[in-house]
Amino acid sequence: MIRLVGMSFSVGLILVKLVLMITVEEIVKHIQGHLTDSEVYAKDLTGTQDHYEVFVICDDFEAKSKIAAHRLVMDALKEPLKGPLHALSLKTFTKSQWQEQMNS
Amino acid sequence: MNNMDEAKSFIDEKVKSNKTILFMKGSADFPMCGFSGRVSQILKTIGQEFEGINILENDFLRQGIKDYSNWPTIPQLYIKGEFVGGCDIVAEMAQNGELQKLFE
Repeated sequence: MIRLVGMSFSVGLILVKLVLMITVEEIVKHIQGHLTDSEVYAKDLTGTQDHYEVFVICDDFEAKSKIAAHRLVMDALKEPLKGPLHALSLKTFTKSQWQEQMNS
Repeated sequence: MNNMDEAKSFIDEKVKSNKTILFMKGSADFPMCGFSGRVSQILKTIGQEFEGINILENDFLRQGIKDYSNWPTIPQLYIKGEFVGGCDIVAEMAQNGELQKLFE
């Protein structure tokens, strides 16, 4: 019984979390689950865990248009975008573009 | 527009008209959202004429444009029949000159 109550309590907590917020770690995990060889930086813009700026560096973006690259990331974030992730500012780079960015 | 089919044909007709079309919240002169405002500002700055379509005026249009492009957010910019992107992509492409090239 106690175990059951405990379980429904944690299920409840998880639900609240699913609906309301997402952490940087979860965003990184979602993206790297789809783009396995990628570097991901996510920053909580408002401190409310629902508006993020995300940088993704991955050579899968090579020879792709911006919109195609963004689609790859958006696909990876499809689930959180339906719920906890309200606003996303996204920048995509290939490894060499990122290198240039760092050196400029 | 009273159903999704009508919304879809309206969108399709606009997109394929070969003009520069911005599906946005509010109008070009009175944007109702910062992201929509930024994209119309960018287009004005580079001197590109465009037709702004206010998706807030019709719920079928509002959902229809997301289904049409399979892209979750608004604004959406279309140039010569092609979906270019939302605010992040348009801003980045304007900065590095790629956007201007699309109008040549």
